[in-house]
Amino acid sequence: MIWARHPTGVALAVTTVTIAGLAAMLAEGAAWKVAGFILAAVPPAAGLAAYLSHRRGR
Amino acid sequence: MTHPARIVAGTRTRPPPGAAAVAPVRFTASRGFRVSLWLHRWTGLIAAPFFLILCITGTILIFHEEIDEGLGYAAHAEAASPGTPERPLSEIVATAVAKTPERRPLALVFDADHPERVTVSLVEPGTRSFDGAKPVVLDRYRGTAIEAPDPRSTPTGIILTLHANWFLGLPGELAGGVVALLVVICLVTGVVIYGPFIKGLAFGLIRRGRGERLRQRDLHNFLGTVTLGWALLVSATGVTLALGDIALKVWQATELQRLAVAHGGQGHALATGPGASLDAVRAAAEAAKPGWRTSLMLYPGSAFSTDRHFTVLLVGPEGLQKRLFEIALVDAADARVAEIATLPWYLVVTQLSQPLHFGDYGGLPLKLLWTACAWFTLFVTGNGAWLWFARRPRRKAAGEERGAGQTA
Repeated sequence: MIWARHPTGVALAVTTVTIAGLAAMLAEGAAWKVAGFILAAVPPAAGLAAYLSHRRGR
Repeated sequence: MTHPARIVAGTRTRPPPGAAAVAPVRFTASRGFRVSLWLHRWTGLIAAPFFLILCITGTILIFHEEIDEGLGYAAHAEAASPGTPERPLSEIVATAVAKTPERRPLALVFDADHPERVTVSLVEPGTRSFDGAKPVVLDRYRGTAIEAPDPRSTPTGIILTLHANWFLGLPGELAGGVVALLVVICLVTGVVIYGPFIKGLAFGLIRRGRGERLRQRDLHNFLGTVTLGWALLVSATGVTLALGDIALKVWQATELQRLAVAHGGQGHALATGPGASLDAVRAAAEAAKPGWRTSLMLYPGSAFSTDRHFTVLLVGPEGLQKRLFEIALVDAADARVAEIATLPWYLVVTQLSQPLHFGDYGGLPLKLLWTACAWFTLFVTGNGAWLWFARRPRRKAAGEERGAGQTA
C-alpha cells in the first residue's frame, strides 16, 4: 500500500528512475545503455507485473 | 503541504452488477488542491487534441529510418574501398554547384552516421538563412552526387514538419511549445491531486464491477503513474526544443555578435574570393581541438557566421561530447582559428533535449519502449477527457431529479 500512502513520493521515485535511466543511456558504453534501459523500463515492467498479479489473484 | 483532501462522504456499498457507477466521492479540498484539480482538468482537455496528433506523428517519427528505408527514400552509396582518400572539399562543392549554377554554397554538413556522405546546402545569392536551401548529397570519396530526396519532402519529413511546427514555422513551433507546457502542467498537477483517488488501492489494482467510471479512473491513475517520468521528460524537452529557434536567435544576437566584434568580422567585406581552401579551414579547426571532428561548416556571410569567418561546428570524440558542439571561428583568408567558443547553456539544453525527446539513441528496444509509453500516455489523456465528459450527463440527470423533486 506504499503507493496509496505516499502517492507523491512514489510518483517522484518513478520519475527519477525513468529519467535517470534515459539519461544514462545517452552515454556511449554498452553497459550504460543496458543499465539505463533497465532503469527506464522498471516502472512499466513493475506496473505490468503488479497488474497481472492482481488479475491472477482475483 | 497539507493533505489536499479528505474523504467526507462516499458510497461504500457495492452496487448491483450492471449498475452505472458508484456514487461520487466528495472531498473537502484545500485551495491548492482545487487549483491543481482545475489546472489538471483544463490543461489536459485543451492539450488533448493536439497531443493526439503529436503522439501519432511522434510514433511515426520514432521509426522514420525504417519507414524511409521501406518506402525507398533512403539514400544509398556504395562503400568505398579501404584506404580511398577523400576528394577535396572544393571539388565536392564545385560538383554540387554545377547541378544548380544559379545558387551558391552556404554550408557543408558532415553526416556522422554516414561518413561517406557530405551535404552541400545551396541558396540563392545574397541569402543568409537556410530557408529555401537546396541540399545536394555527395560521396566524399568519389565526389559524385548521391541520389537522395530532400528530407523535407519525404513522407516522414512532412510528418516531422507537422510534429515540429504544424506547417506554421516559428509560430507553429511556439504553439507546439505551449501544448508541451500544458502537458507539463497537467502532469505536475496530476501528481499533486491523485493521492485521494487511490486511497486504499494497491499498485496495479484496477477495480472492476463497480462501474466503468471507477475502472477508467483507476486506469488513469495507474498508467499515469507508470509513464509519468517518460511523459514529463518528453514534454519538458518538447518545450525546450520549441524554444530552439529562439535560442539560436539569442546566440546570433549575443555570442555571434561578440565574436564578430572581437575578431573583426563586423563590417568586413564578405569573403568570397580565393582564400584558404575548405580543406585547410576544416583541418585548422580540427587541429585546434584534437580528437574533435567537423560536423558542419558555415560559409562567411551565413546567418550563423561573420562576413570574414567560417563557423565550424566540432563534435567531441565520445560520450556527451558527441552530442555537444564547440564552435571554431576560422578566418576564410588564411585558415587561422580566431577562437574556439563553447556552446552557451541554453544551446546545450536544446542539444541534449533532442535525443531525450525523440528516443533514437538506444536502438529498437528504446524505440519500442518509447512507442509503448507514447500510447499509454495518449490513452491516459483520452480516458482523462472521457472521465470529464462522462460526468456531465450524471450531473444533468441529478439536476433533473432535483428539479422533479421540487416540482412534486
